[in-house]
Amino acid sequence: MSLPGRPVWLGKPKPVAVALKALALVLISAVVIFPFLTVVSTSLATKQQIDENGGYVLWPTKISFEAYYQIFNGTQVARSIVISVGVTLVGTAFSLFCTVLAAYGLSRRGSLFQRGLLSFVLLTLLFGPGMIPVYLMVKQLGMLNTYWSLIIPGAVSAFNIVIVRGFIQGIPKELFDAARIDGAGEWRILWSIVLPLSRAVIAVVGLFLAVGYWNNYFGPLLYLNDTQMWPLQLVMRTFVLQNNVTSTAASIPGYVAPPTQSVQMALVAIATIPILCVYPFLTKHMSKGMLTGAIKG
Amino acid sequence: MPFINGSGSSASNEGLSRRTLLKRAGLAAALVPVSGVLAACGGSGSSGGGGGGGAAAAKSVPLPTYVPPVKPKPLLEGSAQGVMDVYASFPMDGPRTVNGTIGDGSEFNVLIMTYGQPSPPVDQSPYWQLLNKELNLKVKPLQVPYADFQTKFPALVAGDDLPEFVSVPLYENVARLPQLAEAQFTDLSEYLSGDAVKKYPNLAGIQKAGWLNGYLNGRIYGVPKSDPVFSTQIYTKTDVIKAAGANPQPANLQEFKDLAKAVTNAQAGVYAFGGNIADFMMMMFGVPNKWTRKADGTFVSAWEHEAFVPAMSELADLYKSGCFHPDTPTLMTNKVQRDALFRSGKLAMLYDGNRSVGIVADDKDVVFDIMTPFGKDGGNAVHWTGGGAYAMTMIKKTTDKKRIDMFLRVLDYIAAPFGSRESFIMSYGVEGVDYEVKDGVAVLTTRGQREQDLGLAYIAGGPQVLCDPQGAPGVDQLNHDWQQKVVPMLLDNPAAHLYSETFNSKGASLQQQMQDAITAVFLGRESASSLTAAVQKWKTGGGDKMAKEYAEAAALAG
Repeated sequence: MSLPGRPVWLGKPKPVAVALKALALVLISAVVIFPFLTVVSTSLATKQQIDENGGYVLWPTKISFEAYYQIFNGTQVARSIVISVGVTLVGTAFSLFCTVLAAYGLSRRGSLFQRGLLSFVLLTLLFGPGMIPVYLMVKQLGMLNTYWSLIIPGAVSAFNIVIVRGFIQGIPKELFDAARIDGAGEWRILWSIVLPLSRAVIAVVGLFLAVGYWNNYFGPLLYLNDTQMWPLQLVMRTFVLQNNVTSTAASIPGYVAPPTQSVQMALVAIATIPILCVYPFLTKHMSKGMLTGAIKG
Repeated sequence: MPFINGSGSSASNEGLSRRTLLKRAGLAAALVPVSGVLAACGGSGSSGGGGGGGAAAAKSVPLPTYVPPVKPKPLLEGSAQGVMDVYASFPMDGPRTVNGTIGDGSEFNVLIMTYGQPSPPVDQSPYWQLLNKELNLKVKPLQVPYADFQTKFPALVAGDDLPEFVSVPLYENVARLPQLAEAQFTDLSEYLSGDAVKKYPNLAGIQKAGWLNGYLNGRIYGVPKSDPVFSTQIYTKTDVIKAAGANPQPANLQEFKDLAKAVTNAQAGVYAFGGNIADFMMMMFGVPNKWTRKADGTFVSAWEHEAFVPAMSELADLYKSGCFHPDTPTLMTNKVQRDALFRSGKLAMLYDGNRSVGIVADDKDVVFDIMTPFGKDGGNAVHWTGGGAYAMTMIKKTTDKKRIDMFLRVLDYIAAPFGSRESFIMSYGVEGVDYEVKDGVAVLTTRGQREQDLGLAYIAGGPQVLCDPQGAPGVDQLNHDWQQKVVPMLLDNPAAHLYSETFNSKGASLQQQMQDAITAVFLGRESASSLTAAVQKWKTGGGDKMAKEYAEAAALAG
């Protein structure tokens, strides 16, 4: 309850209200954390406990690293993690480079072919080319069975260009004028003024790009015939698919099935951890960047 | 319908012209939407509207002559009707069935669908190196995960990137396979038809049910990898059932319902079933295997059978009675959890494909049985047979007879029967690395299982066998006895090896439509009477046309 004359939102909340809010937050957090906990717990549980609990374990009574051993022992997972990290880093950097340059160029009024190029970029938002034409184009450019096939076809998104362009347009014009008076060229303005002020939107767009590259399995499936080049998501997919059907080795006498459920959960944990590690470093930019474009003017 | 001509696809040496792009995109567009909607059409969960998506319109060349293969004497003999041989373990000193040099040291580029993980590279795989040595070839597989085959395959066709040898999984229903085979693959009839196959003794040991899958447009285009004729089974957790005081082997529908109710104990979290058993119910009611060919030559689909709706009505009643696990809607597609629930005794019965016996029997402590099918009023049920083959392997169009002969010798090696030296090598690889010998039995190591995912062993083969030395005691005898009881109930799909253009283009979407209608009735969202309208919609949507096309194809085949 507020004091007389003070707005409601400046009033000191009652202990009961605080307690209820805390309870709600705890419950919501539990709902969010519960699936993660289940994933990690099941990955560390024994086959017996998993079977007894019908497939999922909340708290393993006995810790077993068998699933992780299965995954990393002699499989391609370790290699695919390195590939995924490499493709994500290079792809994100390349995409950000192209996106920022395109957005900056298209944000400058009067730049050469600005309207035409902007229309061309926006047109790509309306429809996609389709899987086969893209495959043929990638093949004709000699990118089949190369890591560039995972980066170049999806490097530039019109949506990201529009977002970044909108942010740049929000930078006060006076800053640009002042820089020009001081003799700065467009590259200097981009480097010294635009980029430092655009950290938030670049962080957000970069994070979405990174998550996109990290999670991409469709491109590798289509363009990489050499399984040694497969990134983590595609290798994971084969694990998950394998565990939903009889393995090719199952018809051989003496075959012993691996602990399937724990292996699946271990894969989810392995694939999620890198993204979870990156998020804390970017959260301070996220809240500012997320609002980009939310308020007009 | 325009098709890529094998001799015309040289665009990789030219720039990409608009004409080339449009031509290839048009070709692949003919494959992509069709293959994209063509879901797996075999096994459990499908009935009524299926048929052979891309096989023979006419058998204009004779079948390869069957010659029983040279094999070790089994513990229990199989039969020509499809009962599988039983072996106590894999003989480690079996005879050689293929003599002389197989390959010519060249590369063997082959497209293989895989159910496993990517295999280790050749320099880290003693198994792969051994195969290269045995075959005198440099095997280079292009592995495609099974769930992504219908995505990857059209892209490879459009880009003219199919390798020289292609193993096509038959249940994936590759769109317009006969036309594709005619345009891009070699007709093997002169090498395999009739007595010509005797040059390759292990290929001659493949039975008729398998070879019928290698026919396209009446000619032999591919070598099959045989599949057991038996489709699905109900595994019963006998300890749970007996503890509930129920009979694990019901003889009719009423006893089956009584069993389901007796074992269900919701408070203890134990239920009779955890998935859709629609196919089992239909077989119990005598619904035919997808189609019936009448005496006048016309085809009638199983959906139109008089017992179809009553069977689904009974299924819905069973679901409503609470005998199904509450998670059944998700368990229908979650095999891993279903298996776990069965092993832990939370599900008293498990309905799955015949290969699943290996999954449930890999633990010596699992106590289970296999339910013998029965008619709703007692007596025999019908048991739908599968297609007879899992995959078909072809060679790209060539006039090089030596190359074709080498290809067939390679497949002859791979198709060596169980117990032969070649089969042992294909299955186990290198001792000490891929397998170990425990109590006289070869046991795959973890590494060996992984290297097996190379998949080469599954591109050709004759009849499979039952051999589970690591499994629950007596599991193979159990399965063998079950198969012998079920043989009199086997019912073929008369459309299995016939071609229907409508099935190829619309079959998957029509099938999905019917499956959705069945699932809605099963889960109680719709009444059983809604199936009448669903069947009518299926008929007008393409079912009647399929029936006509199958009738024409059957008349042509004679």
